[in-house]
Amino acid sequence: MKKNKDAILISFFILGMLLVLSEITGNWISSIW
Amino acid sequence: MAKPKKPLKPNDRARKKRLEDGLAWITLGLLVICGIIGFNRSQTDLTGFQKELWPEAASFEATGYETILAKDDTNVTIGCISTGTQNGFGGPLKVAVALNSKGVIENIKVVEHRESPSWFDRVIGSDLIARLKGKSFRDPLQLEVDIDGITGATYTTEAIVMASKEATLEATRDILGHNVDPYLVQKRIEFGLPEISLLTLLVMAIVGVYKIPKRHQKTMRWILMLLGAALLGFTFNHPLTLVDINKLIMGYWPDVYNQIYWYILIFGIILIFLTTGKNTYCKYICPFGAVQECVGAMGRAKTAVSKKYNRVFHWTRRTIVLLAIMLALVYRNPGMSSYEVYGTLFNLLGTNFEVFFLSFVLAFALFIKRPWCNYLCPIPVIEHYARFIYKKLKIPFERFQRPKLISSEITNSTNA
Repeated sequence: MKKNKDAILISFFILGMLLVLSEITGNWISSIW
Repeated sequence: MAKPKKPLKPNDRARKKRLEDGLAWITLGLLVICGIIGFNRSQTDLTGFQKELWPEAASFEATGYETILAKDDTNVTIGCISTGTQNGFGGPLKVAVALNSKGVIENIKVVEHRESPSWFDRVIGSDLIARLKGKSFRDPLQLEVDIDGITGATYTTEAIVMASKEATLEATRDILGHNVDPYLVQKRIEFGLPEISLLTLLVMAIVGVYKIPKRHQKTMRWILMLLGAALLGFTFNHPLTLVDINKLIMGYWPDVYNQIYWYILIFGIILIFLTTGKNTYCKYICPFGAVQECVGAMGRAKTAVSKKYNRVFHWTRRTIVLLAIMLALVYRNPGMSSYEVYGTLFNLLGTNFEVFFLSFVLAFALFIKRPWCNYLCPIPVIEHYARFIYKKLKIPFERFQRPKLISSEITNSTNA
């Protein structure tokens, strides 16, 4: 049960951070282009 | 079965505290360096845009800082180019306006801005510039009066219109020599429903924390959250974002006359934080927090904390937020590093990527309580850092105060 909870959290965090990084990089590239 | 975690020894705790303190000071140093680099970066050169703004002109003559006369082939002045600057959503937005000799706008170009690219493209892709062309210095040049706004990009639209008005009035009066009605130049503080709602919510949040009996606090919190979502989120579309924090750090404080809302939001939250030591915004007012809690109530979401990975989550988020602020400082662009998803929700507009990101967060909000706030949002990181700085500033202040207390105690005891 606990492992399951950790798995949900880890997947949310990793995917979320990847999306955050893509958003920041996207904004950065379109600003300097 | 997992082994229970051993409690930290006093030595380990002190070492951990020293490491965290060191990292916090390094952060401050990095922010100062990025701020200096950004400050020294080159500014816009207006002469690069003069031919684009006045294609019919044969020659140009610079008459002052950011004012240029446009002349025909017989050297007769046919108009001028002037600039106006106003604060948009992401910071200062500079507009160059080409005016003919009658003070009528011939052409407009945004020569400098710090808006989020997707929002800016939406405004420039609209017919706003076309609507401004042909307007005279005698026109009100005001949103929703003689110029229609653009849904979902109010701050950018307003900044373009106000900057165009500023450039038009100043150039018509100072360069073209027309008489400009002083009433048109006069500025008035715009204090309306958004500002009143925000002030009411902030006051209600303090009342909710201190004056309401504990048994009613839960109800009060839900009332405030729903009001916050309805008003700050869906109606006025201005919750607290990283852009606001960046603007505060960089000194890009908006015009107090037409954006007093920003001052109430930022300084209201800071004042409550300094007097109560609590972050009432995130808990009571944040519109996206409210939306997540509503979604969580539907899916019976639970507070999820992983003891094993919590530190990793914590420090990764801090690093990303630091990088985001550093990027904004280096490029002197508060809007550049904004990554909040709620703009898409409250404006009901966004790119496919933004809609996907928002749906992803809301899907997880069904199972985890406030996943955005606990793991991705930059505001709690800023709050932790503000607490650190506040604590460090408080120590020397208290040391300074202590001798006074001792001397007053001595006086009291002597009198007794």
